[in-house]
Amino acid sequence: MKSSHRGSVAALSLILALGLTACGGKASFDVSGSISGLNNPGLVLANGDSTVAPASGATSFTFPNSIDYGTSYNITFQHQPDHMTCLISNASGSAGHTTEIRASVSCAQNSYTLGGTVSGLTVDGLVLTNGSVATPVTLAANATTFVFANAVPVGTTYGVSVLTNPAGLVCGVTGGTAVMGDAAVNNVAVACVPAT
Amino acid sequence: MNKMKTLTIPASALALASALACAAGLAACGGGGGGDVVLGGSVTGLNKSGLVLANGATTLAVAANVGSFAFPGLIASDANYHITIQTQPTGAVCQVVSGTESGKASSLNVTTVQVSCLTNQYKLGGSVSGLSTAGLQLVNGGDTLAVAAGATSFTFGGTVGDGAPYGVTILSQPTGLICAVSNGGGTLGSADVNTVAVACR
Repeated sequence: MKSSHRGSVAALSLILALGLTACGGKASFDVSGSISGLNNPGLVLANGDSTVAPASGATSFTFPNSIDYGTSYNITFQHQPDHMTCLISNASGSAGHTTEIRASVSCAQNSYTLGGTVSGLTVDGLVLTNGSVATPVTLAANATTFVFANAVPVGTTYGVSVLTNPAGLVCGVTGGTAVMGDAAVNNVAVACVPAT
Repeated sequence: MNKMKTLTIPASALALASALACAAGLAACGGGGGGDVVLGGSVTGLNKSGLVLANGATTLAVAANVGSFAFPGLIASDANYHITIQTQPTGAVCQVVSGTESGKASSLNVTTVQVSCLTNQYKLGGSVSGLSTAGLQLVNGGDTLAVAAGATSFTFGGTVGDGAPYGVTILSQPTGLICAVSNGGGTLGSADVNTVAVACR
């Protein structure tokens, strides 16, 4: 009786499989999605033990192994790309819940703050700018540090200069021009001395 | 119908009442006020002041850096509207996005008018002296410019908006020379800047 029961389960499975095929349902699904903004190497996505490493510039990804109807998936970041942070939407679900598994990965360059130290600022009115990047920073008397409101993306240049000197002082900038790296900059040095 | 009482009933019912009032030929239908529907929309790129929008004889001043607008007077739920630019902002050009400027109101607020603005852009550059070798790189914030040996002038590839600050600094010095920037910072007016001076020796 036991073996006969097992046989009927197998037969039922076969019928179900045939039925699905007859209805146009798929037996297996690619775990895939779209990618936007990826312009650095290093991204590795994982779905359980399976991984895929989209190259810089890739606009889509597909894991090497397809999964069966009803199998759940959950795409995670095993490694973020260099200098970037990616987010994913529609990362998890059950195969067959939608006609296609279509996750969406969007990546953006990391940005870090730009700032430094100030010395000799005895009066109000010093205005520093980073080129034409909004917004200039205005410093009050006795300020010893500054930071721009707008963060600078990694790989983008910055150039701190004096837009307006305070009354009676002349301020100079040291170490104010470079390319943003993978950390906040807080060592731009502004020194103010009495105007002669 | 007593207007004071209609003001206390829900907007949907108010719209219906207004439509009925219009159908009955009562006054204050259409035109620039006295209705029950907001006329407004979105604004993008407006960094300058002075913009004035018009809907017929009704005008609305729109401040810099806002993302939306709504005319102060409500329009009737069956009113036709047509938004135009009455006065452009100083140092920028706005347009009402084609296809969103006009229509006929319904019982819902009109929020579909789109105004798109662009601040006037100008070039930033100046003169160079003594540059006998290669390697000079100038920056204006995130805008980088390599200046070739022998150059006597330079102009950044990017542009600077009307009224925006600028500050030219040196990212890398040319081989064997030291360059200095004078007159490198300021606030752009409504014209190209070609007065930044780079002297190398």
